[in-house]
Amino acid sequence: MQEQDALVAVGVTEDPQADLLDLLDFAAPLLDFVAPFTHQAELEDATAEQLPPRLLVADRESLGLEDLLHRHADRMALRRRQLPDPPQAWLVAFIILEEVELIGTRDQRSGCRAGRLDRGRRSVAQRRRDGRTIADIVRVAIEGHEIADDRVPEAAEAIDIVEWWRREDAKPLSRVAANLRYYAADYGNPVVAQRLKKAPTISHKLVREPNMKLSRMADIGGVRAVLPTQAAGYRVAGRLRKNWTIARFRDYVGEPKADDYRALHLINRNRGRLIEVQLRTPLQDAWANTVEAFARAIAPELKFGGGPPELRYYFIAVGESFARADQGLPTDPALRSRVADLQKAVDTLLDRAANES
Amino acid sequence: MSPDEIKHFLVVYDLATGKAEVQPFGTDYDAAQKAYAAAERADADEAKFDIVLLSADSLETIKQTHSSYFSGTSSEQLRELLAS
Repeated sequence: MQEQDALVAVGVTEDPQADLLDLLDFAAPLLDFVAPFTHQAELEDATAEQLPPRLLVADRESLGLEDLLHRHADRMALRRRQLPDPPQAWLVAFIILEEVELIGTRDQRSGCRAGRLDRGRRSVAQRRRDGRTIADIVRVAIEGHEIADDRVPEAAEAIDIVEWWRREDAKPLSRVAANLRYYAADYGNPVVAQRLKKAPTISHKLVREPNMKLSRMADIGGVRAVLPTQAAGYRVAGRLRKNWTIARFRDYVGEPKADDYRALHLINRNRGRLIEVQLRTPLQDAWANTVEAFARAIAPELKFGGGPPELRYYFIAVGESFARADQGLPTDPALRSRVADLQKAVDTLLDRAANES
Repeated sequence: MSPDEIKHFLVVYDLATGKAEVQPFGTDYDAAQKAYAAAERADADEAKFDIVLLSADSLETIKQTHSSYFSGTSSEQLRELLAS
């Protein structure tokens, strides 16, 4: 394999995360850039007749890819080759739109436009040679305090990649949020907000979890809906599961987290990207935001199961009491007095915090 | 409401003061994302801010769904939060 060939596996599929990840996993050591997205939407106009709805592992002629490549050659900086041994023979490798754009962006910043593609390719080819992934590079970047000067460009590249990856999530995220608004509108004025994950959080997650990859991080794009009742939450979740590709459904209402966090979480696969959907009742939302506010103000450990015990127990008790309200159950006197007792302890804690500040 | 009508807000929360500054970008998601990345880069060494890009039909919605950026950090404000 020649070093200057940057290899990217491309499959056009409705469900690339599921169907291509296996392929990419085994091919990853051979590739410069593991990029399991689909371009079906973008290419649809030109290739509607040629593209079967699910275009996966097969030889490229039977998929109409050959023709597709020619049509888009000027945009794709087409360079393809077959990998040497079966079963890799069917793996068509070439540079795709986003990769070219990434390289273009990066070089515009450094002001070197000429020969940019080749330079970009060399850089990814070098990455392949030492067998490291994007996540590896980010790990180096984060632990950057100790890296040698010659690693600085690499760290900068890693940050570019994280930002680029996040940008690519923006469209799927907006689509998912728009759909969610549509479903939520059945239950009054929809309260829906989306957020793109903070780059430092993305990087720290890559560092913290050695097997994590950008392509597997499910909440770089996240959207939250507040629905008036728990029943509405379950109904919307049901519709999403019926009509969308849901990679994961977590019922934290039926099984709250250890800190008593409650909500319904779904991971939607949307054009190759994983988007997290959170469905909360107003009480669940108020609870989570209050915990967040306390974590922000006095005890960051709260979010990781730590923090002052009286605060933790207080929020657990309040969470239980909210859950009863969401279920339409009457107030439990014992629970109410526990909340009141814990509230006194929290008051003391707040007095202390006020005196210290 | 289509994605084109959604408005984007860069929330820059000052960790020292507990106050959030909001930069509105209207419906220009690209500009908002550029500003997001630039703000993060500018803060990378000192980490004085908690910076996040949020989008919704209005700032009011964001103040509800992501209220912790706006609820303040004093004991008094936290007490108010518990009372509400």
